[in-house]
Amino acid sequence: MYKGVLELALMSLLEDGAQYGLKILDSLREGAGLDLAEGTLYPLLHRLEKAGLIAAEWRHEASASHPRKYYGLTPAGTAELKDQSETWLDMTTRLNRFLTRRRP
Amino acid sequence: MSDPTEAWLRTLSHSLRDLPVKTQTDIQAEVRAHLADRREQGFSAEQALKGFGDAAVFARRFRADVTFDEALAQTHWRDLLAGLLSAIGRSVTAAIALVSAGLCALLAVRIAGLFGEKLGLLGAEPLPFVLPDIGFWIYPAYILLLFTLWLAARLSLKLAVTSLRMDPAQ
Repeated sequence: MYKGVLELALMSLLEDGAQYGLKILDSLREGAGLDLAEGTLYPLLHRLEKAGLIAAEWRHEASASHPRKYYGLTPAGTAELKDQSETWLDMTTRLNRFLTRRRP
Repeated sequence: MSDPTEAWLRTLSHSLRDLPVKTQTDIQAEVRAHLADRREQGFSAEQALKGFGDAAVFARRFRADVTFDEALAQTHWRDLLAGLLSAIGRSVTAAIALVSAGLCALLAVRIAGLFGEKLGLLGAEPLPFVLPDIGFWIYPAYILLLFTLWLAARLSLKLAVTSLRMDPAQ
């Protein structure tokens, strides 16, 4: 389940615009509060890229001393994000209602 | 203390060797960029590497993703062969490990039988090799041998499962 949450949070982040690995890592840690390690993130990016949900390109920015690999959401990724978001929100709403059923 | 980055990257490079060349180059370049960014932020080499964990384990998470489909999508014969050898290698390792675990178990049963016979509990077929006559010490030797065989069988089974597991990160 955690893997699914990571994927969802990652795709949601990339919906705001393309990002490179380190920025994605820090944003997911700080923004989503996910305990994510480099050793988990990069293979996940690789897998999502292979699945066609995200696409990568190397960019050499003037502000950086080296090229960085940027990841952006593909149209297939956008559709997948919409599906997964709806499922997640529906599931958490139901679960929250169930878990708090005895509270006044 | 010396910088561990290059040694870590060498292990990574070695562990990625059966992936398509472009994938290897991409992963290494991305990791190098990440480490360089962290160093520029003031992290030490050890701190920057910490989140990646062991280089061989990190590489295995990518290697596990190399499927026949990916191999077939490659145009270069070397990449096709690398994908195929990776899959065969995993299966052969698992098969050898499984046979080894089975042999350990069989031998353990024979030795346990022999041990039982010494104690007058069981009858047993003689072993295919002769154990030295060491008097009373034969009993602890049997126990040590059985324990070693149990450990070897367990290790072999673990190796078989690990070699077949597609994604150790999951």
